[in-house]
Amino acid sequence: MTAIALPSGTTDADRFARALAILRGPEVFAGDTSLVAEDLRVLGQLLADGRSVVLRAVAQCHPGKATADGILAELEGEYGLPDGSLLSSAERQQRLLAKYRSRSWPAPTAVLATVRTFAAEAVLATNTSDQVDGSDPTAVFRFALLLSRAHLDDAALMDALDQRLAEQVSADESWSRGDRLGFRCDDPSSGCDLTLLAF
Amino acid sequence: MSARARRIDPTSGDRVFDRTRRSWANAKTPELAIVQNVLRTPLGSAARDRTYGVRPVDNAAPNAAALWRQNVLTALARWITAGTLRDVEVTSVVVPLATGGSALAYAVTFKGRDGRPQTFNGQRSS
Repeated sequence: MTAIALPSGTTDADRFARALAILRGPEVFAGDTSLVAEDLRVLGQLLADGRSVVLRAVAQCHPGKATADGILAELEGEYGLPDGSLLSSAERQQRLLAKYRSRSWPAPTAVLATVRTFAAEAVLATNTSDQVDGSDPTAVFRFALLLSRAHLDDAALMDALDQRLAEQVSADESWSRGDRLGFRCDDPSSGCDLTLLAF
Repeated sequence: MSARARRIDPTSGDRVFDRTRRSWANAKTPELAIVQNVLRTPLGSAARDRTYGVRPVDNAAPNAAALWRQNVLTALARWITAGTLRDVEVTSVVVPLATGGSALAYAVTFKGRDGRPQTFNGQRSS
């Protein structure tokens, strides 16, 4: 195989320059000291700029990645969210992504995806029919969200979470929130206000 | 507007900058640039077109000169067929080196679109 001298470097422009040199082949010398290398780096920068523009345009179409200088405001209007210009970009992206996910169907995995938009540590606990058939069969329509105490104490966050879940879950379902399942009298971490006995 | 091609130094393979014009230097003729670039490229080494380039020969082979002539004509076939290169002829001779081995000196004569005879001289070392 013929060895080809390539421009060095780690930037996107350098990588594109190397690709162009490989396409061109050994008819030109594209090593670092050459004018060919600099010419290819300029072309590489052109390609890198074009690539970043395309990637940015694709990102703008995604609810969690649209930016304020892009189409974030338009997506907020399209999804029926109030104007978020007073919020940070991260907050706007989070609530938009949660709104988008709340339009999914009410399966546990989809509900968990919506909840984890607000709290990445969230765990979803459900009752199976085998577990509750002899006691309270309607318990299959209830589920519990286990969150961190910091998130549970955030009233605004919990309010937003409840709004999204109300849109997503079916009318016969209800949920509880807590930091853990199972109260232990001898465990100082168990809290009467946060630990769930059952759901 | 006459056709132009950027000049590539046949020895270094680098582009040549013309400081008087503050721009890239032009090859003497585009056809000469084609012949030079094709003969600088071993067949298959250019990723953009694996059929581009000239198949190398072993200079020590008994029929190296004839084989090289055939390979050069094959490499330039697409331009000969298109009429870009006309009356192409390749002469080559194997020259033994004082240090051992042999070099293959060759000359490619042709006419471009303007009909003027041109020559490209080259040498392959083993």
